[in-house]
Amino acid sequence: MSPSDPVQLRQWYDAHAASLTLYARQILPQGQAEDAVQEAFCRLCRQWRRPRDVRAWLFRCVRNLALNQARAGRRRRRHETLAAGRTQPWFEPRPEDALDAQLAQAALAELPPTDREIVVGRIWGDLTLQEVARLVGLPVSTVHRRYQHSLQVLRQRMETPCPRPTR
Amino acid sequence: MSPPHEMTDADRRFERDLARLRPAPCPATPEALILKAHLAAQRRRTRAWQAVAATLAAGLVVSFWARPHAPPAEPLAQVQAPVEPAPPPAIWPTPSTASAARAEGDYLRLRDAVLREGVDALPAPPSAVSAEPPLTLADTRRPVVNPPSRAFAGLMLLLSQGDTP
Repeated sequence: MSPSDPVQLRQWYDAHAASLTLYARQILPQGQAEDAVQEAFCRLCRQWRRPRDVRAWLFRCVRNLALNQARAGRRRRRHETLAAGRTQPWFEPRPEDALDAQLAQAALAELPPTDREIVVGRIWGDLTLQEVARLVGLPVSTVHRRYQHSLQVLRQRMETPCPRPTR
Repeated sequence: MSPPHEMTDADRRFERDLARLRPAPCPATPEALILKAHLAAQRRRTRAWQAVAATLAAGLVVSFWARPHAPPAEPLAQVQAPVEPAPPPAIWPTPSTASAARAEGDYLRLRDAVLREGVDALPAPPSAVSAEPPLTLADTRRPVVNPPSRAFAGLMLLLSQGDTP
């Protein structure tokens, strides 16, 4: 099936757009992340052949676009975009969630950028560690180690009780 | 490099809880994205056709200029074709002469003889035609239709008797 088939494109969008947006937000501020995701889907449509693994292809495309935009954005108004981007929620809070979405976002935002990419790609992108390693350009063992370390850091940060207000 | 550690149960539980968090949906509507992507795909197809047309046009121009020149045409000598005499009207051979002139050589020979000597050169009609005696006055009195045979008359007689009660 051609990548430009609207029905197929809609299915891919419904399946991957949210996780791709979350992944792009690890590199780009809010407004530019959606642009990168849209551009990735447009590039997917321009492909003559359907990629073998559409999800991995989309993540790689979003990463390349996001890095390019981030480099260009750094030269432009860097402070405004970053300030605007941090106000948007990354997760959709639901009552059945075991973890607090805002807390998870705050803990995730404190990780180094590459570790955030690894965690988001593995957990919400549903990529294998091998695919994540190819995506970020690191050895699989390194990615595995950093993923485990990031999970421990996130758990410690999110399980730490809030400090009591001092009088 | 040390091998990666196995994840503890607490890490796995935390990983599952993290995975339950749903990423915020992309604010862009899928319809707008599909329209944009469709336009991009159409633009790509248009460009592809333009590229094909431009390539074909360039190839046509190149082949026109680079084609080998034809050798100079040699002057043609005009030769009068020999005028053959119109064939004489066909003389269809009569049935009597058909057997004699069946072969083409015989027919040509006969034709030459007729042209040279006249109708007298034609062979005499076959004897089969003249074998019948000429018609006489007595032949006119003969009935054209033969009378019914004796068996037919008997049959008619039986039929006529059957009609009577």
